[in-house]
Amino acid sequence: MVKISLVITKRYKRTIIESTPVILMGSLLTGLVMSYLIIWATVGLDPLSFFTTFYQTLVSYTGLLESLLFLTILGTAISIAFYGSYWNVGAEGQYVLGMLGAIYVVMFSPLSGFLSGNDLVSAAVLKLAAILLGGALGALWSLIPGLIKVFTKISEIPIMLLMNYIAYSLSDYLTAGPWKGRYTYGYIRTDMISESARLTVIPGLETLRYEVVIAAIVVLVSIYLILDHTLLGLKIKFLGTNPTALKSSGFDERKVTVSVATISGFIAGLAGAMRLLGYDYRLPYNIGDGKTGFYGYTAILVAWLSFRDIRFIVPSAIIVSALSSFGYRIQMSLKGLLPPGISAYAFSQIFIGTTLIVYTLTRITKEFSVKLVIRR
Amino acid sequence: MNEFLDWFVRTLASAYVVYTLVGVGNAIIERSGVLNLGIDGLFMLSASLAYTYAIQMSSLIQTGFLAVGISLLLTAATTALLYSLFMVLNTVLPISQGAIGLSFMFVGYGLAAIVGNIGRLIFSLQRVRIEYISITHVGAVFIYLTTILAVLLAYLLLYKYKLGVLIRAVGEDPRLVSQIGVNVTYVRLLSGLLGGAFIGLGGALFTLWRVGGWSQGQGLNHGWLAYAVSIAGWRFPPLVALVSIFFSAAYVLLPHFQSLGMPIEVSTAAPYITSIVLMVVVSTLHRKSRLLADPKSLGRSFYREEQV
Repeated sequence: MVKISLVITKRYKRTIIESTPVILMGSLLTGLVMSYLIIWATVGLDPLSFFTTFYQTLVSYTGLLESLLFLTILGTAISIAFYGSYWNVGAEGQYVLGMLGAIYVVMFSPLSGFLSGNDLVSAAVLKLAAILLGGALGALWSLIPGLIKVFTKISEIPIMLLMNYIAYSLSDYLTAGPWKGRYTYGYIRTDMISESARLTVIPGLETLRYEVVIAAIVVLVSIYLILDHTLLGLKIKFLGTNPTALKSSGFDERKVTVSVATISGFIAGLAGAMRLLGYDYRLPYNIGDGKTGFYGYTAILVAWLSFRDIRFIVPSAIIVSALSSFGYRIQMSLKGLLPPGISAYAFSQIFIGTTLIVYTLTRITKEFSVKLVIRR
Repeated sequence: MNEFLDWFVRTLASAYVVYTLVGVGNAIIERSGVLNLGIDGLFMLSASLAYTYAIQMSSLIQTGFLAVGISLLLTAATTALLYSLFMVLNTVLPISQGAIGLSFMFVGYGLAAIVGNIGRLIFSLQRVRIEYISITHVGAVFIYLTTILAVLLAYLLLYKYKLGVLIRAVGEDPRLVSQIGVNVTYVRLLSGLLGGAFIGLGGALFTLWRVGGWSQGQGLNHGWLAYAVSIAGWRFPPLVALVSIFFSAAYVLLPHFQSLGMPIEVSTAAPYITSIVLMVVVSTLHRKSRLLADPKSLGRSFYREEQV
C-alpha cells in the first residue's frame, strides 16, 4: 500500500528562494494568474488584453501617488496591529470616524469660530486640532473591539467588521441630521469646509498635499522606531509571536493589546481626517456606498503583503494601488465583453483573496520545510 | 389574521430559520477548535450558488418544486466541500487561522459575485422561472420543522455520540487527542462537512426563501450576524436556536420603528449594534459552566512536526 503524507519540519537554514521579496513577488504573480484563471474559466477573457491592461497600469504611475500615500498610512496602521496579533480589519470604520472628527473641529466646534481669521498660525492650529481629534476618535473606535477582546475573549474581527457599518450609519445620520448643509443644491451632504482649513496643494503635483506626504513619512518612521527601538515595540512583537513568553516574563498581555489597538486606530483616524481636509472637503450622504474608496479594506492587503516587516509597506502599497486601478481599467477596457456585474469589485475581491491564500501558504516555507513523502 | 400569518412566515420565520441554521453550523465548526472567520464570504457564496443552481435546475427539471429542493441540497454539498478544505488547511499547516479565514472571506465575496452573475446570464438566455419557496407551499412548514429537527440532531451529535465527543475534545486539546491515536485532521474534516452543510443550507434558504431572488452583494454581513447569534448562544445548538428567536425578532421588527420617528440610519445600524451587545453580554455570563465554555484551543494553530 502506498502511503502519502505531508511532512512539515522547522527550517534552520534559509536560502534566497525563501526571502521575503521573492515570496512577495511570487505570490502576487501566482495570485494574478490564479484570479485570471478563475475569471477565464467563468466568463472567458482573452489573456492578451488582460495582461496588456496590467502592463499599462504599471507604466502610468502618476495617477497612483494619491492612493499610494493613503495606503501607506493605513497599511502602517494595520501592520502594527498585525504585529501584535490584533487583526485590525476595522480601519475603514476608524477612517470614517477620523473624517467626522476633522469636520467637527473645522466647522462645528467653538474652535472654528475662534480661529476663523486668515492668518497662517491660527489656520495651522485649527488643522492640527482637526487631525488630532480625528486620530483620537479613530483610536476610540478601535479601543472598543480591543477592550472587548481583552475582557471577553471574543475575536475582534467580527466586531470590527460590524462596527464599520455602524460608522457608516453614524456618518450618514450626522450628514442628514444635525450637520446637514445649507448650500448643497438639494443634495444631502454637509457644506464645504472653509478655504483656510484645507490642506496645502503641492504646486505641480495637484494630487498631492504637503501635510499628507509629511504625515506618511512621520508615521512610517515613528512606527519603525517604536517597533525596533522601544520596549513597547518588543512587547508588541512578543505578543504576536509568543504570547506565553510575554506573560511568563511578567508583562500584562492585555495592556499591550490595548496599546496596539489605540496606536493602530489613531493612525487610521489620522488618515481619515487628512482625507477630509485635503481631498473631500465635505461629508457625502450614503458614505458606505464606495465614497470612502474602501481604503480601509484595501490597506489590509498592503499590511498583509508586507507581513511583519515595516520596510515592505511602501513596495506593497505601490503594488496594491497599481492593482486596484488595474481593476477599474480592466472593467473600462473590456466593457461589452463582460456580462453586466462582473465588476472591478468582484475582480479585486477575488484577486485579494487568492493572493492572500497563496501568500499565506507560501509564507510557511519561510520557517518550515514542507515535503510530500510517499512511502511504500 | 391570514395577512399577519403571511407576513410572519415571509419575514420572521425565514429570518429565524436562516440565522439558526448558520449559527448551529458555526457552532459545530468552532467546537472543533477552528476559528470560523471565513463564514461571511462562504455564506454569501452559498447564497449565490443557490440562485445559480436553482436556475440551472429549473431549466433541466420541469417540476419547479423539485428543482429548488435539489439546488438546496447541491448548495449544502458544495459549501460542505469548501468548508472541509478550510478545515484541512487550518489543521495540517502551521498558519494563523485568522489569515486563512480572512482569505476565504475575500475569495468568497469575489466568487459570490461571479457565480451569481453566471446565474443571471443563464437566466437571460433561457428565461426559466424559479419556483421560490413561499407560504402557499407545504415547504414553509416543512422547512420550519426540519430546522428544529436539525438543531436537535446537531445537539445529539455533538453531545451524545462518539463523533461529537471527539469533535469537542479536538477543540479542547488537539495534541492530547492526537496522542491517543485519533486523527485530528479527519475529525475536523468531518465537523467541517457537517457544519458546512448547515451553513450552505442556511445560505440557500436565504436566497430561495427569505429574499426570493438574487442581486449583487446579496447576503453580505448576514454571515456575521449569524456568527453573532452563534456566539451569543454559547455555541450550544439548543441555545443558539433560542437566542436566534430574539435576534431575528429584533432584526425584523426594528425597521418598523421608523414610522415612530426613529431615523433610518439608526434602524440600519440597529442589527449590528444588537449583535455586538448580544455577544458581549452573553460571553460575560458563562465563565462558570464547563459545558458552555469556549473551546480551549479555538484559534490556535495545530500541526504535528514530524521527524524524518
